[in-house]
Amino acid sequence: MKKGLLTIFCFLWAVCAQAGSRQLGTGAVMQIEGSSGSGIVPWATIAGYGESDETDFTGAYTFLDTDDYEFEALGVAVGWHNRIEFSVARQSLDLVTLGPAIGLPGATLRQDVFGAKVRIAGNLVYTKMPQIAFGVQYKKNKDFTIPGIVGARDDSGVDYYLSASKLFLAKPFGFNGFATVTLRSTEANETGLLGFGGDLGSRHLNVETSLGLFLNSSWAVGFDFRQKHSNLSFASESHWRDVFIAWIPNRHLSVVAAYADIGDVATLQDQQGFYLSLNGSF
Amino acid sequence: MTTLNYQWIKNKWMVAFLACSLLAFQVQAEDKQLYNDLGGADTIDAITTELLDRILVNEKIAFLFEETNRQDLHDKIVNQICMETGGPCEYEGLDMIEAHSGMDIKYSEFDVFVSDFIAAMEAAGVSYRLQNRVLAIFAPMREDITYE
Repeated sequence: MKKGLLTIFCFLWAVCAQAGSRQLGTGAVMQIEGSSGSGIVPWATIAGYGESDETDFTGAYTFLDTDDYEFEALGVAVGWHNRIEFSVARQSLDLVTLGPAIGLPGATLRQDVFGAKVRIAGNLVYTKMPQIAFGVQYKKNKDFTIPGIVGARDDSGVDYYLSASKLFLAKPFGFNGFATVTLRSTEANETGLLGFGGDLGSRHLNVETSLGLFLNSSWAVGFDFRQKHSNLSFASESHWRDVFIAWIPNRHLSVVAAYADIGDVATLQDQQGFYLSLNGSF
Repeated sequence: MTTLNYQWIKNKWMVAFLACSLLAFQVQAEDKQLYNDLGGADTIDAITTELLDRILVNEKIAFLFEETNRQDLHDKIVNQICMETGGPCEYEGLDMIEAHSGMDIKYSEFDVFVSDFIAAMEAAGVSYRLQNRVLAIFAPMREDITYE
């Protein structure tokens, strides 16, 4: 509730302030770890709408409810000169079903994610080559008791990713299509909420991708996929996927609604649910 | 044997020639199509009027056109859109690099111009998908126009 109010306040502030000059939608949205991207995949985009002489701030609140879990993320990011992005996000996973089952009602897993990303080459819209960026996400658990019990080795870890994103003007059929491929090296269990490394291994290279289409200047639809690996023998991880629709009425506001399938999470099977994300930029 | 080889080479050239002509025709046909789809000279004139109404009073970029005569600029832009979309015009102005040299145009100013251009097409009644086709032609010119 507090977070909700804070978010609304941020939006009101954002609407009153000035945003950068890049074209609508090119700032993408904040993904669950605080980086600019789509729902679960970081893109090569730099947060906000700033160009080479502008700096933009973005804030986002994200909520996903499967029957057995409630996931929340709150993040802020700054995009400097369409070159460098810094972000901070707090994730929390409420163990709605597992908590009471293991005698810990109200148990929640939380972690902080500190992200940095640099655009190496290209421009999402204007160059033939895709926009390419390299990023890191340093993750630190706030609650390591449960991850420790299930066999995680560390309460912190670093993800490295290389991402390529491209907007295709007037393709297909006169619409603007967009695509991203991201390669991520990570040791995280369930993005890090269940710690890092385990009895089955640690670092893996995963592929993530987003594909979508702008239906008009303010509505976009798309699809995300995120490959995952299992480090913990107590429960295997599933690949994640979602379909999303985004509404971007102006450079200050974007709303993403999605249906996410995160599969089996910590022994509970077939987790699916609605995802909502509110983004403010200024 | 040599005759066969010769024949084969000749055919290869023939195929290449045909492919090239087809490709050229395709490109030209596509471009011509855009000029017609837009609604020809009337729409391009309307887009340009709307564009100048915006960029000449937009405090972020108006200064770039301070030394330009409006009618002159109007004619040049109409002429260029006409040519680039495959209309029956020949662009007579300077190329994009020459036309903007010394102006030190920033990426952000280019983007402000593009936003005004999109708004102008919208005001002139150009559909979203046609707007995108026009933008696809002009987007690659960013590096020639800007100075970064």
